[in-house]
Amino acid sequence: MAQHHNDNPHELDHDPLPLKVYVGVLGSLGFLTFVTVWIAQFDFGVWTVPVAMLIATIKAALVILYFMNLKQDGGFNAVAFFTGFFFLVVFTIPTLWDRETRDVVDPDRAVEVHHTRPGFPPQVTGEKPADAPEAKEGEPVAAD
Amino acid sequence: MSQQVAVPEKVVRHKVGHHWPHVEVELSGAKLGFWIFLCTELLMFGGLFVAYTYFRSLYPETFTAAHQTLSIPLGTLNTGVLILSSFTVVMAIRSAMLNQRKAMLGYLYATLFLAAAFMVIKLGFEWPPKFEKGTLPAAFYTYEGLAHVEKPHIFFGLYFVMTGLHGIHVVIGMGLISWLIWLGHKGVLYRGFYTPIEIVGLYWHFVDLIWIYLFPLFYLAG
Repeated sequence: MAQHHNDNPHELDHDPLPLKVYVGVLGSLGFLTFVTVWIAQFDFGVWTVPVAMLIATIKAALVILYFMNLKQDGGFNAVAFFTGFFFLVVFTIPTLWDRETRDVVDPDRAVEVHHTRPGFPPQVTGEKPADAPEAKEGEPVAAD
Repeated sequence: MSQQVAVPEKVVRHKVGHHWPHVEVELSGAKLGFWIFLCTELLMFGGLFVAYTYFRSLYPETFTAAHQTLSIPLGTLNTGVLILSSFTVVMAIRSAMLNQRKAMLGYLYATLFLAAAFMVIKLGFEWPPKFEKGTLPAAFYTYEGLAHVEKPHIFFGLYFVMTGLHGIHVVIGMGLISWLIWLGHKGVLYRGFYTPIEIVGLYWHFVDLIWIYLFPLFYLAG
């Protein structure tokens, strides 16, 4: 909380942010929505999703800082929320790391259980290699 | 107290519960509790966002092709509706802090109307064509227009679960805003006590935040 002297223990006594802050945030959010829809017609290749996420994150930051008032309140509220955000990153990054490197670790099995797709990585055809050993009983085999 | 505002006559003046030493502690305690709740909400939606990212990396062509069946104009309209409703919520808090009770109620009714508009656009205009075409999750998927890509039903599974869970949050939000309107008519919300609007406001902005990410991921990024 912003430090504020208040002798009345029962009633709050705060002044709101100036009207232009809220109107400015509303205008910025509308403008950024327009930008994100407008650039969707262009193809940035692998950067398409990162660019869209960057704009979404700027919008999210405006909402969190001004509409949710985290800029003024800050402190432990921010710690609580960003702890959740941190663990979301911990959840996401190793999951993708695992997914991208699975066939590097064990290409034969990756083909066998269809954890990859033809053409990625380039040496994977989607066919079972001729020299791949037959799956033994009790071992995981192709699911579909 | 830079802006001296007279307390209106019909207000029911707030007294903090005996377990709170001061109204400031009551407000900041309520806020912290709610931010922790929002942390758990973030993790619930986060799991779905990880699922989206994972399946998108497995079937990029499917996601590119399937997202083109969604309506960008309707998605953009709903984005505008939600952003505007976030604005009306902060304006309701601002009006309460300035003891402008009529304006506060006006903004709360506007928020309720915008939330209802969001659901009408989604359930009335976006989803019925999908039920007709059969662009539905898992076994309900019967659409034949995406036969050239692998497993398009996964995209629609994620679409319906993620926007559906978000929609449930909007409906719950409508209930909470109706509660605020009831409190407003009772006369308990004014400069001295507006904690319920602050907390419901946090919830409503979080619902807006989720949509800010859902919109580009499903409707735009191909």
